[in-house]
Amino acid sequence: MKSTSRMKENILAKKLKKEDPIELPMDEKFFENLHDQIMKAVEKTEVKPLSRWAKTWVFLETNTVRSRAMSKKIVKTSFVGLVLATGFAFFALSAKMYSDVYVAQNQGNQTKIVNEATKSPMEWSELVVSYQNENDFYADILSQKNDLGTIVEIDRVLTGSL
Amino acid sequence: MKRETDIGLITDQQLVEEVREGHRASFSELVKRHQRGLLRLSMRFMKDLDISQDVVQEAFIKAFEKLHLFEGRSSFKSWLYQIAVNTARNKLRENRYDFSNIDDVHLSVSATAEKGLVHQAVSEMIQVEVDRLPFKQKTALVLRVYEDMSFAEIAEVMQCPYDTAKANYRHALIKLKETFETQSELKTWTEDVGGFFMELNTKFVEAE
Repeated sequence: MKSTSRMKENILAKKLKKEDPIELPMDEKFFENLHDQIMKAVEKTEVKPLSRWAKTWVFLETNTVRSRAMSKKIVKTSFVGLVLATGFAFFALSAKMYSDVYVAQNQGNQTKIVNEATKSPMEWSELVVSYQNENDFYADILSQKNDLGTIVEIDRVLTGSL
Repeated sequence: MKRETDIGLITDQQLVEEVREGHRASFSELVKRHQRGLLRLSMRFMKDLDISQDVVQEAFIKAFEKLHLFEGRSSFKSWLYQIAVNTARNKLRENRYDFSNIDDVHLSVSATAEKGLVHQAVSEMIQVEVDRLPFKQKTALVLRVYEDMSFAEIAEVMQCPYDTAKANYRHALIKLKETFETQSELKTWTEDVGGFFMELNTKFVEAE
């Protein structure tokens, strides 16, 4: 779409040139006269040496134009640099924050568990046991009893429960 | 004699140096080299041969007076064109020339049936639209389209950054394109002579 628009503009430019209405005099004499006229005026023109103030002004003006162009470049580059740096800093900061929160959360959980367990070991063990399912319970008993009768009995209960 | 045959090989910059050293005759060669281009450029702004000659003369005199300020960072041609454009702008401001009386052109279109005259009238209308552009946009367009200058040279003449010169040129073209597309006379003409809207549309369809 963009290239089409450019193409249209190029064609328009060519057509404009084709329709150029300016017709210069073809007569060489005309240009000879113009040249003579200009040179006559130039002959009369005196080039005055620049005054000290004018020199300073020209110097300042030239320098200002140069420094303006330079400072524009510097401002542009610094702005782009600043945007990139800020973007990178945000990215790094968010990554760091995420990892910090993750670590703190993990550490916090572990510390909490240890604290709770130290405060009231009985309650804690009950709580942990409550998380055990039926199979865990029977496996515990099984590890304590070694006789075959109990094992058969448990197996029967388990099969029945399934 | 040798000097006369070699003068064509001397660059503008060398001639400028010679003028600075006091050889006024070298300025004559610079005038010969650039007077046509400068006159053509002035005609685009002033539309009048006599006034354009004045602009050219004034531009050359200013260039001669300020030659010691020419640093050679841009080409002499760009510097000279810059002076001419500024002189033309000042003249336009002073005299407030009004070249864009489109009503006259409308009358001439309706009154003439002959193709050649219609073509001429439309050509004038195009110029009216070009003249209506803001000065900077017109300058960029004129330098690029009619003087075949590069954007770098245009930027030098207009004393602006490269991108600004380019943007001015593009805005001028876009504005003209929009205007032409809404003007019925231009559309009729383009249909009559198989003009550029037909071509534009064909190219557009091809590109799509």
